[in-house]
Amino acid sequence: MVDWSGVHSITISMHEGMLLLAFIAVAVRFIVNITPKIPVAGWLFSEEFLQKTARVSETVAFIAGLGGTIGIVASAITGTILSTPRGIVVSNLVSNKVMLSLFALVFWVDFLAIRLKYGDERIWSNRVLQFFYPLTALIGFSLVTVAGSLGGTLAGKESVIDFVFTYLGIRKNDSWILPPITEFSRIVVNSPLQYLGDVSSMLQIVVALNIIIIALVLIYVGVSSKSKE
Amino acid sequence: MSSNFIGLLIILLSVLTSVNMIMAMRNEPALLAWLNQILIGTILISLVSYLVTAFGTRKAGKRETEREKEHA
Repeated sequence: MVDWSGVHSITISMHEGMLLLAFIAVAVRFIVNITPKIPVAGWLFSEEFLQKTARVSETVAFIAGLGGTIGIVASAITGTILSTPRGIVVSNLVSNKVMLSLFALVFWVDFLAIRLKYGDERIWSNRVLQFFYPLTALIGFSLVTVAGSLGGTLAGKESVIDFVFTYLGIRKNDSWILPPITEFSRIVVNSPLQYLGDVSSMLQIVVALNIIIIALVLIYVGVSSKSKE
Repeated sequence: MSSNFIGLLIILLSVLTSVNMIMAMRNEPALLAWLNQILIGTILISLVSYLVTAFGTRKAGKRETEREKEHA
């Protein structure tokens, strides 16, 4: 019998390690990018050293970011095996952890999308992207760290960053869902939608509609990209 | 806006609407609030990221074109 909690710990360690590496590499690349603008840096680092560091750190950031993003998905799969969809919302701690992990995933996918779309040269020579690209990595990594801290508390252990929560007065067991969203959801649930009828037949209609919408979108994207060519 | 981003936005919005419909029928406000926060958050993050990158690169593109014109 496979111990899924052990497998979950392994996947978490792997994706957190890879994302830490990606974040450090991006930070190094960012520092290398701004170093020539600092007057003293000219005689501290040679041009060749800076170029080599930039090339290596950029490659490491992309590969580690890709591995870490795949790792978050793997951790989500092993985590879902450990719990049930119902179990996620029963505990505030678990729902907060899953929510932050998903937001972190969005930021890391964004990080990879920017890198794939614009490429190394264009990102680091652009005035906006050279700050925005490392910023996505910073936010993504911070979210992974906070989610990891919640996971530590869930496992009954203390976290290294617990003092931050204490200092900011944030309680991990509180619901982190914003009040307007809770209120909006309550209004939706109390709306006439609840009397629409049989759930299973409606579910089939909604899923079918979604498949049609996704198919239409894919056709539209395909047609418009072909017309650009 | 690029067609890829419009496609992503339409898919996210359709999923958001569907989730709201299904959860309303199943009468689950807690699960719906949680899912709404994730979906609305994802839409906002994608939108902000798209706008920042699009405007950032458009300005740079304009500058490059101006430079090319000056050279010519």
